[in-house]
Amino acid sequence: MKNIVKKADIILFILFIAAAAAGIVLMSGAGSGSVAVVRVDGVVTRQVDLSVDQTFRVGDVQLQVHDGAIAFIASDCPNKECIHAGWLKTPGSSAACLPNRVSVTVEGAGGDQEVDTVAE
Amino acid sequence: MRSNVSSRRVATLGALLAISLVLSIVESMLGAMVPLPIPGVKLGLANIVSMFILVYFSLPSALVIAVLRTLLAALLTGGLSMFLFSAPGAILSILLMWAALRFVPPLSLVGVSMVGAVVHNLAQVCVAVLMTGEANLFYYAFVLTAVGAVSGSITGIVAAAAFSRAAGALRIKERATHILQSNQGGVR
Repeated sequence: MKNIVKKADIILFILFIAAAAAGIVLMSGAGSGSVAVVRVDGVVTRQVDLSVDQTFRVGDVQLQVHDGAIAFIASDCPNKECIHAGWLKTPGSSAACLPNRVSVTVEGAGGDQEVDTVAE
Repeated sequence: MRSNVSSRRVATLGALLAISLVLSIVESMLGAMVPLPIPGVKLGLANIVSMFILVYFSLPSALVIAVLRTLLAALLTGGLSMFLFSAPGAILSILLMWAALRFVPPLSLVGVSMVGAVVHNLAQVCVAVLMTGEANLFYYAFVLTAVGAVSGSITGIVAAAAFSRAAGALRIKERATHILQSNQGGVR
């Protein structure tokens, strides 16, 4: 073991973990979101109010809203990565089903992160 | 002129391709069976084979075998979109592992493997962002950096323990790289 792991490996390991921890701390905004945006191919197809429990389909995937969180609950994709992503609650958290090109992002309660539509 | 040597080389690389394919398929089966809180978490077992080829063969061989592996694995499990998703990560991680082997002598196979795993994960995040147009997925980059450091060190320790025996079994003459010399004591 001593010969396998060198000092430089340990330093590199610590660097990676520190960078990851710093990034996670910086990115995680506090507070619970209230709107989830569903995109297909990067195009917004649906905005879901997370305060209303419901289940709906987007193409071949099924999503559920419960207790202010949203999750993929059914999909025909091979790896089910989207379902394993679990419940999304905090603003900025997102999950995607790449084979179906569906992604879900939770946005802040203010909804001021980006403008999706403008009424004229 | 070197036909004897090169046919042997092709046969050995073919065997390594088969091994790496089995490893990546077993891994994707495990991933489908055991639900994990973070998507995209993998051990990167096939990366052990990529590293092996980098150490005992060459950079081009490692790239070719890895691309063939991702192509075959995609055809057998997920379809071609899986190939587009995994090939860039495999290629980038091999390039950076090669650079680490060559230009950062203080790193052992464990460090090289960590570099490969982290780069692979980051490349996959980038591909995911490109495919979904969802910049918020970059958030996962940090999580997957930590995951890569852990999974990379695990596979690196396996690699360091197994390489010289595997080379013996495949009857490959050892290349005298600093990595192998420094690991000799630990393996024997």
